[in-house]
Amino acid sequence: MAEVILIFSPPTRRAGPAKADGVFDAPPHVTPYKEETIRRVKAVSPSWGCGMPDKETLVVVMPADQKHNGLSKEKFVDLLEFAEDKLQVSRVLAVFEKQGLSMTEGFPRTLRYVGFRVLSPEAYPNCITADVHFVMCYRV
Amino acid sequence: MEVGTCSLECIASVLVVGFLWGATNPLLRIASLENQDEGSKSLSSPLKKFIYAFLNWRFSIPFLVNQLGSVLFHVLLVAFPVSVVVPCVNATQLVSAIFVGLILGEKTKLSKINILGAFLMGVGMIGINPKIPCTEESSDPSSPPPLRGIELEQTPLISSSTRTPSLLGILIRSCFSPIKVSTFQFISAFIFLLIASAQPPISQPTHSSLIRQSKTTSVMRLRLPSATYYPPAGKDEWTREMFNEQSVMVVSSPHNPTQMARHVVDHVSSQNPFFVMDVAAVQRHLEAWRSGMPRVRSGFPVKYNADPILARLLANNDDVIFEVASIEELQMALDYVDSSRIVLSSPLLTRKSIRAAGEVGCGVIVIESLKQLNDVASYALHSEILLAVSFDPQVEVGCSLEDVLEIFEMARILGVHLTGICFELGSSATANCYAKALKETRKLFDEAKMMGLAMSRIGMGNISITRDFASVDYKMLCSSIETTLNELFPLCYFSNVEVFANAGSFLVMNAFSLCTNVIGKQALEAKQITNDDFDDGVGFVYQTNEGVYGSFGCRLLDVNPLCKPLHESEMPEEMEEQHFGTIVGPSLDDMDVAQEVLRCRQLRVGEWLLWEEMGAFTIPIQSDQPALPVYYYAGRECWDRLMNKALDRRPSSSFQRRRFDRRQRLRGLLIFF
Repeated sequence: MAEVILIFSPPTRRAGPAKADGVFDAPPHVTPYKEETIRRVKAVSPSWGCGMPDKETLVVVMPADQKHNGLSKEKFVDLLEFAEDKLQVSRVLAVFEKQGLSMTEGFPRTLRYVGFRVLSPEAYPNCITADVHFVMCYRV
Repeated sequence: MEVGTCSLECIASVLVVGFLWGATNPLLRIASLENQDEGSKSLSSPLKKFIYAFLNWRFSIPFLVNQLGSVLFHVLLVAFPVSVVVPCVNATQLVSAIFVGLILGEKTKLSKINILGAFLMGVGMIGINPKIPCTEESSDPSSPPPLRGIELEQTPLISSSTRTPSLLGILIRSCFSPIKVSTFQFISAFIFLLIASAQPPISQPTHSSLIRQSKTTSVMRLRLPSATYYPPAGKDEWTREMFNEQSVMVVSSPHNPTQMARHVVDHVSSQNPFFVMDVAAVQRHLEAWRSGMPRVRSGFPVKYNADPILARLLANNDDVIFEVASIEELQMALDYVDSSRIVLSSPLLTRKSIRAAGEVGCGVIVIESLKQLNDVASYALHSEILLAVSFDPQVEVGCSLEDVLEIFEMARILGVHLTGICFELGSSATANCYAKALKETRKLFDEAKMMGLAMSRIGMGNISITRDFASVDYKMLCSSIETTLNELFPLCYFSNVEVFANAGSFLVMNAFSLCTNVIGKQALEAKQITNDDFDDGVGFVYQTNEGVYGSFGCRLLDVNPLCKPLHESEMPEEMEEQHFGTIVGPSLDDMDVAQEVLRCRQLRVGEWLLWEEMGAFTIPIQSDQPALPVYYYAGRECWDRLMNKALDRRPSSSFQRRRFDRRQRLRGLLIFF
């Protein structure tokens, strides 16, 4: 069965969760919010990308060297509330490239502090490869 | 696999109810015919016939027995899955009715097809009943098996696949039943069978199936498993006690985690990781906190450790406040304490969390912006509000001092209960930092009073305090905070002011120790481990069966797990060569490192490692990984004190809730009848 995925802002070849380059479908209730989702993610950080591998999951792709300075907590909360209320997802995944990532000192530590948890590779969506990516999960 | 007691109980209950119904039907039929024969001569109205029937003991007694069966049937519906109870009871009823009827001499034509139908019903019941969920059956292959005096409890998962055979049973019954089944019943059963067949069956609740489900829906909530001790043979001074529905081993002489972990590994054949918890350690630390800072109530953030015994133990201490950061944690806290003892404090406080807190009447909500204040005013008007203020620009928690007055003013306009200030000073805060922050808090209290807001709470955040409560550092910090509080908020003027601080790490860190097993090993040059060219010799990479995707995820939150071999070497320590090593998790992933560098004797594959001080951020309320079993123990003296405290307490809210639920069920039954 073809992977159902909506890529709002296709990441670069090795920077994002999506290896799929084919035709994507969005869950019907999500399609009207495509532009707004991209806008809200970019409002937190212009370098972030996003996608929806399934209707329960919003994936936010973050650079491995992401710093917490300069990020707006209010805008991040706005994004989570939007994911809860409009996209109606049950989890938000923060996806990092493993190369150059420091788990205990980098941005994953900040995310863990605010309530994200490390996701085990068995629970990754099919489009994310455990060899290349490190994923943290926030339960909505 | 042995069928658990729950299944046998269910089977027996189903047979009894089915028999009560089925066996009384022929008796009622015969008694009704007698009444009809006699009644036709003298009684004319249906009411008179009905009264006359009740006066006949041959009718009234079977009728009462039949109704007793109905009552039991509804009790069964509450206790066991409907999809199992209904078809099985009906099948038993039919079989009982036929055989009792035959015994009483009823003329029933028993054709071959009737007998085949009864046989298929029996087979159907046997096929369904073993699938009844059993609360004491362990199905998770990753948990240690209940061998040699140690048993484990595992939460069952109800499989929807049990519905299909039961509905299939209805169809078989309707096709072959000796008693006529209406066309409507047949069509209904057929439609339900089609619907049930269309749903993908859920297979056995293995780890992989949990993961599969978590990919598509939410993560399966895993109840934390408990581990049950039995006193070892020849040790009469060890007793097994129950606390919060979990088993605790009470030992007469003091034992340390190493001794208890050795006891467990000696009695379990599995190599799977597990925790041991010193129940008394939590109480000891709590009492030390109280004596060090009598004015500061201890706050327990549920995110630190969601163990049920720990939660019950802390809930039994009325001065402990439960801090929650999510809806799941809020639900869990409500099982243990009254909502007035719960503080919702989350760095990512969303509207949904505030709404949920408002619905359950959460006592206190911590906010840090005008938007959150408006949300609380909209969804949780009756909750008290604490304003998080950032006194240190380095710590980005709370609103800035410039925004405080604006939020005060808005709170006054909205009429919400803004009753306190809280702050977070970070892990490097000293006594002076706390003194400065408390001074600022006092100024804000005065400002609030001038604006007509009555302030009565101070949250001091996570106090970075040594866990060695006998140390000089601990006593000095406690003394300094108490002195500052008494100077700035003297009891004569601020007797209503309640101060609390996050004591999570202090309370739980020492109480839990983790045991993991070495499952792989590889030799390499020591300098490759230490990144120091001066380190000569051989080093080892050890693979253990727990990693950052499980309990060692705590490494992201400033916890630095350190291990040592659980068992001592057979050789004298000074004769053992020491090697550098690194411990990696089971995934062999680059990120999955439990301890980057250790120096110890060479370890064998299959050897146990003990990780002490693993209480913080290791047992989450929800996880995509199976929760590890916890073996609880306590010293006799401390245990007796705990039990006295538990007896002194009034019934908990969860107990009250269960009692309320039971009352509701009984009321429902009464209304039904």
